[in-house]
Amino acid sequence: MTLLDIRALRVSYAVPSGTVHAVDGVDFALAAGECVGVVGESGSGKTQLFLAALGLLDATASASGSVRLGDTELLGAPRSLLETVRGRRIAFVFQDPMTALTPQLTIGQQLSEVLRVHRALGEDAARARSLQLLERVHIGDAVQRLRQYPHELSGGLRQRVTVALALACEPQVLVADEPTTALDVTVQAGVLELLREVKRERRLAIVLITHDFGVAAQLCDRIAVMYAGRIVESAATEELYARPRHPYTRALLRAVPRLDTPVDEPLVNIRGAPPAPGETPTACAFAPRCARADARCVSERPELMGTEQRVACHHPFTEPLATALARRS
Amino acid sequence: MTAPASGLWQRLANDRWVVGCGALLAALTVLALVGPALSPYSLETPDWRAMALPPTTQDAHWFGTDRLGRDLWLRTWHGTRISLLIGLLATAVSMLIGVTWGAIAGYVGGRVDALMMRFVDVLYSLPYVFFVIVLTVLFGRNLILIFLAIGAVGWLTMARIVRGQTLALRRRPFIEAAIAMGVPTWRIVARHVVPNVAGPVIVYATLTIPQMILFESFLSFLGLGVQEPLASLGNLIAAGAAEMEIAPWMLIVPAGVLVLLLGCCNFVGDGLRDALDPGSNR
Repeated sequence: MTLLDIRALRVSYAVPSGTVHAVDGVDFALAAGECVGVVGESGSGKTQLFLAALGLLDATASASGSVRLGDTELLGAPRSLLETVRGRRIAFVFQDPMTALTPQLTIGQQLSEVLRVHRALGEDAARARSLQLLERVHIGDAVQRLRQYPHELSGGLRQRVTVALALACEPQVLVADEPTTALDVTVQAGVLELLREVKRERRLAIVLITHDFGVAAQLCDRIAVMYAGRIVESAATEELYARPRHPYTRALLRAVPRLDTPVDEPLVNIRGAPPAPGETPTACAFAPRCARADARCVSERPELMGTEQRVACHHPFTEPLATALARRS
Repeated sequence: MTAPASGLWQRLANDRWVVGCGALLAALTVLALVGPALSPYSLETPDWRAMALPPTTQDAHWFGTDRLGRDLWLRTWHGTRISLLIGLLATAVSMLIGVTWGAIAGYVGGRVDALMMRFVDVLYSLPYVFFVIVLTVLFGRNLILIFLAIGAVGWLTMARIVRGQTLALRRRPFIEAAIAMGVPTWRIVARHVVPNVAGPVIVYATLTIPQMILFESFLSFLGLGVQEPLASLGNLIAAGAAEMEIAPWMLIVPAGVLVLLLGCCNFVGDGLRDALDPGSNR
């Protein structure tokens, strides 16, 4: 059953030189209990996509298309409606836990605020529930922590608090925007483990926005790769890793250093740079950097095709990545 | 504000300098309240045996007398009381209006912001001394009018400061996070924005209190403020300045009290700012 259904979503910004499309026609569906990774480099539009879905875009942005949560259309919905969706049905976890908590309010005050706003809980009930939530995200000394201010907590603990905040009202969808990027590797592992647990126990649908294939692979059932505001490939995680079909995905995966890569071997990089925002190519956006590009790639934009493994490419790869690598060496 | 009172007091109590200044400020306030009652003299009645008497322990003229023979101990503390009252009330009024106005303008933004701030600009451009003179001419001289006149001028800068802070805050991740959690707008302004501007507001308020007291004394000097026989630090200093060559204590006593008062306000405000912002450890 599709829970969150995004169709033909476009986010554009008017700039002096014209219009910039941060998100350029994206279809995205999320089923209940599913975990989807949205992978892309900076500026590929992965965060904008979900900010738009909740009406959190800057006032200068305009969004078109459709975002449905269940039976509710969210795009262009009045703020009063959006306020009942935000935090209650769709919750966000932001990238940097150091700045995502209000410094002047204690952890307890911030947790109960959300509970009181959405659940209309009284003070005592909110406190009891806050304690539960902190224990749920494995924060020890919960009673003490409720009284502390954000600056008294470490980064990892703060990120656990933001997860607790997001879970407070038992949302249907959790959007985690680079939840581990700002954290140490060891702390990262803890937060990922927490998300995995939450996903398992609550049948919560999770969208994990990341630029890190490793993080996405640990958690996600399915991965969508974004490039220049469009989804270029979408497939089940194992399938995507074993048989990346889009040249961009393949190049990205090859760029990830592996433990068995010889130390002296230079890391693979992708030549060229992503298109500057504002250039809205009628061609495949990746064509200038693609070894397989031909005349068709620069004249006709490929659409996302296929059913299980969807790819937007005129000349997709078919053989598994391992075979290709083996043949080369 | 939002930090629980106990934690706030604890952080304040750790700063000896602030505690000292706070104690001095409290002492001045107490003296302003009970000082006049300790003197056997009255505010208006001259002591004919002691005109322009320097400070002395005899006759209970501890701060001396002015040229009409009125006791300066009594008049100084009485004036402190009125100056403090005007300073505090006018500052409270200007904070209330200024913070609300600025936070709403800055947070809502767009056309509302432009309209609200143009209104502030218009008020700013009014020559306020002229404004106050017109008011006193129209409605007569009384203390309430002085509060109103001073308050009407004081909140403008506060509104600008708060608006600027709010504009910067609106882009901060924790405000975006609160929006993303579905916290209603009024609640975000009240709980997430206003406490964050508390630092600048308090610092500015500590500057506003002396500003208000000075403004009051300026009005008194022009004959528009507190009227004789009532005393304020302003009109005492004005009277003392006229006599400073032959009777320096008439200037030194009220001016000294004013300096202590303003200095303590500043240090306590500074300490409060540090205590209100739990993240800033010096």
